[in-house]
Amino acid sequence: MQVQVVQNVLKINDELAALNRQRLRAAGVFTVDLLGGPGCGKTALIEATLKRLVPGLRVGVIVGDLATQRDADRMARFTDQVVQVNTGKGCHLEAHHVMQAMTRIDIDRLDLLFIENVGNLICPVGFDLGQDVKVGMFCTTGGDDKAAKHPYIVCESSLLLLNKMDLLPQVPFDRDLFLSDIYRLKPDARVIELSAVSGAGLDQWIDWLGEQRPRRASAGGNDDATAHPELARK
Amino acid sequence: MHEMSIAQAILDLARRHVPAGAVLRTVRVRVGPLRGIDPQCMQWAWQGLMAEQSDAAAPPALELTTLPWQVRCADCGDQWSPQELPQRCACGSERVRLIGGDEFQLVCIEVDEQPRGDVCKSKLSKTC
Ligand SMILES: Nc1nc2c(ncn2[C@@H]2O[C@H](COP(=O)(O)OP(=O)(O)OP(=O)(O)O)[C@@H](O)[C@H]2O)c(=O)[nH]1
Ligand SMILES: [Mg+2]
Ligand SMILES: [Zn+2]
Repeated sequence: MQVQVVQNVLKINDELAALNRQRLRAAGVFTVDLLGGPGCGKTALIEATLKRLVPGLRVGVIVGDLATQRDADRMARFTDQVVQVNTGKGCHLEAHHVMQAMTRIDIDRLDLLFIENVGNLICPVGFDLGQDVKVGMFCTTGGDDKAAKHPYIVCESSLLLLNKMDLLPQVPFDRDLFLSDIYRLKPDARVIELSAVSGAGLDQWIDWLGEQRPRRASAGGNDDATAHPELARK
Repeated sequence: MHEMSIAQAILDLARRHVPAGAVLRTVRVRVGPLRGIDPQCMQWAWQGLMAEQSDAAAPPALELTTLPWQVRCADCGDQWSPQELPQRCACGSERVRLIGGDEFQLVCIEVDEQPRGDVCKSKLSKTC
């Protein structure tokens, strides 16, 4: 006997992600899922961002790695709301990881939550975590063909970052080719070129976060919508 | 590992749709090229999962259909379904736009309503 289904294969993950999203929205948290290959600079960018955000803004980080606590230790210097998730054999975070991790930080007291996904350009893309936006990160040292080879992350990300711009003079990287591959896949793509190390382009990135972050839901009570200005730079 | 967690997701979702007393036989999935699923890896992952989670003599099979790209030329309006993502349209335009490719659906499942003896030990069967 045949049973018709026609449902998204990742439906069970999506259901959990919807619960995460509900919880995060109710708490007025703007959530960014940061995706990119191993070593592209995800942790470095979050560190640099935490250093620059306005002091009153409360930021949490959930970071996924196959193993070790190292990324969490790096970011714990800037916020005490950091949770490391070790996925073991898993090459990406799933909604249940985030749901679990959310019980270990004070969601109700956050304005902004970064989820640093496991370093991987492929697997994490299809898994909804409950984020507001997915941000896909490439770097100049990774090669100018990476956007063309990973169309899914290009198509699914609200913003694309090209990191390690400080190294552009040192590496063979055809910037025009890289950008034209992106615009071919996604004509309305938004791309920011930056360097987490030199700080170039970080202002644009932080302005983008400020534009995206919706007003905090006033339903929560204590924190009214104007309690925190947009993410102004230091 | 990508394929392994997806195999698990397919199995979990398929099990939801197995009627009480029936045994899962076949799972039919359709996937677009954007998802980056390698059909061969997917089959290995599925078989690995079955070896782990099913002690049935005939564990359910995965039938995976890989869909082609869906593109449209922004200049001449032509639409077609190539196997590889094209750089340009036959009209010469380079403005070839993706209009699909991220599909990933469990389409249907095949089940046996009367479980035979050999599958009765199966953890996949809800009757045992
Ligand atoms: N020159 C330069 N180096 C950078 C930049 N961003 C990161 N790095 C370096 O690149 C290396 C990897 O950076 P991480 O921040 O650990 O990268 P990641 O994406 O978090 O890596 P995983 O979490 O392991 O996938 C480190 O040595 C960083 O110092 C940059 O903009 N310029
Ligand atoms: Mg990291
Ligand atoms: Zn054309």
